[in-house]
Amino acid sequence: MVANIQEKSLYLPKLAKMTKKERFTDKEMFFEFRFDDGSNLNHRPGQFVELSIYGIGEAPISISSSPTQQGYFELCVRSVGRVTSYLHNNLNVGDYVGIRGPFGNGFPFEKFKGHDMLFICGGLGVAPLRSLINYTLDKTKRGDFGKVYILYGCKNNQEWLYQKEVEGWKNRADVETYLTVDKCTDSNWKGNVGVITTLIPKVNFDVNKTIAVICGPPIMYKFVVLELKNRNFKEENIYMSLERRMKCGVGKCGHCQINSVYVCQSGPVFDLPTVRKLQEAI
Amino acid sequence: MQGFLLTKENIKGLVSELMKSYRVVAPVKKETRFDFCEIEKFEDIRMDYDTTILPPKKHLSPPVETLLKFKRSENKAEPVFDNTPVALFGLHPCDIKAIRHLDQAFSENNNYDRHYLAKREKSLIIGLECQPYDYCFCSSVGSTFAKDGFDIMLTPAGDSYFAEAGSKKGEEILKSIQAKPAQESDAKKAEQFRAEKEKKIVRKFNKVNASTVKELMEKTWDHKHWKELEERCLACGSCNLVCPTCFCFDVQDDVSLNLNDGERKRLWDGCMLVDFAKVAGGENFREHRSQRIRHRINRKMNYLYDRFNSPTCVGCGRCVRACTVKIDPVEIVNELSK
Repeated sequence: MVANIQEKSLYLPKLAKMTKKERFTDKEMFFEFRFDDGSNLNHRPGQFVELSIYGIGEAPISISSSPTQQGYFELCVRSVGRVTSYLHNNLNVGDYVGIRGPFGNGFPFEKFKGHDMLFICGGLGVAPLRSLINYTLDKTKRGDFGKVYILYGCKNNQEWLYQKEVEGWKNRADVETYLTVDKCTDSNWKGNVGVITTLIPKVNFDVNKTIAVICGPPIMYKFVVLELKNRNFKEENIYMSLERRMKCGVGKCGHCQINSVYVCQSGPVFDLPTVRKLQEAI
Repeated sequence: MQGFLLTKENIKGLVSELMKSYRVVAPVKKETRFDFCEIEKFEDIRMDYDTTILPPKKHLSPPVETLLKFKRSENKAEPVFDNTPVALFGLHPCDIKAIRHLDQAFSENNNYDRHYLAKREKSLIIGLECQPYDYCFCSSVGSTFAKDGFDIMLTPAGDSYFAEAGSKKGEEILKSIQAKPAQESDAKKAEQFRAEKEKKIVRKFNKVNASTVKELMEKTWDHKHWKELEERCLACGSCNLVCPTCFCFDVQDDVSLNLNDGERKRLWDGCMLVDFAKVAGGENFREHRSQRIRHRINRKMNYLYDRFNSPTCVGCGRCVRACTVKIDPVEIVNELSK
């Protein structure tokens, strides 16, 4: 035990003010937050925060903005539980929430430098990946990376998140964007119909210099990995961000544990060789 | 370190000395069983207890513990730390080792949990050497004897107790009660008591030991026995509840009737409960009882081994006794190693 540490609680959040709120879909909303003292969250792409509302509770939310976006941070939140539905329905611009974090390892983007980047986003999985996508596409960082491919799939045409930004990615000459819907619900849709794995054969990436980064619903990982393996992707070049119940964020409460790993500390980002060693991971 | 010999009268003196500056918690009789409770007088203490219903953990990490007090209207919160000095008296070696595990868990990776540590740093541990009872299996998990983790350790030596200090605080206390130095013959009696204890431990792992059980667990991930256990296990979480090394918790907000004042509380949680690994979106990462019981047994024997350099199970046997269907880690390990 270490004595003489000041009385500080790991569980005390710092207040952040909601400065933007925008509806994306029936279930998902976009939020921008700022700390009153103007400080940055100082996060890495791929990390998460614990968002807290006194009297309601706390929920882990992945950070959706890039650290290159200074002075504020953004979250894309699906309304599924007590905290998230309260955030959606009862809090508005000007209201405060509590923030703890950032937590987790984030993406090892230093290792990605010099590589082509293949982003594979399923549904809400685009939220954490947008943090790294925006980082990669930031004008101060773009030169660090080669080609950028973005694969993004949704259940149907009503479920697109960050629609305006996705349009922006499509219009960029230095990004190849591929979109798909599992089920087409818009007669004007001219894009691909099918699950996200159906996009992978369409992309002409160089397996020798591409890093694949995956985030989506739990069911997606196995199939995407299989498809990448079919294209001879190297396992060590495949990264994924895993969802778990990160209750405390500080490696204590045990809910996010996979075998010996506490996802809130050693994850949520893992490379495929590490995931292979963890039973129950994907 | 120098040993002392404490007569029963000296023990009484020790306890009254402790009661001056500590909340003294000790094993007391509760109907047909024993439990660690705050005592009012020395006579409440049962030095002859076998084991307690709950481990002493509850006095360092209580079942419900307030972390923050908040006012919703002002969006303000203050952390709450309870550092009332507590003396845990009469802990058996397994429970002493379990507290060592908790100390580590709550201070690892530079994440110092002051809610636990504030209490712990003000606490005192007086150990008491034990005799095995029906359920324990400490020798299989390396927690038969406590070499450290106590301030004072008492071992029966004839009609008296051989006392060793394990810390400066412990030494000062022993000196303050004017205990007389032990003779070599007293130390021998204590040694003999320990040797006899070791002989009496009959519940054991057949083919593995504290250092090899990890390997066995790794090899038996897909063993059919996990599925067999699913047929019996009720997933009630009693084993989690009575375990001295279960430190997982849930956090909940509790708001008063004025809808303004409230507390954020930490509550004991258990990995055997169905929604332990379930996320808000609905996915449950350990949906089946077989997965959860495999997780629990692995967590005690394997998963945390490298961090704690030991199994985290201390072999106290409380989970076996608490289990409605008598699921038993010893039987599981022996079945897996068949």
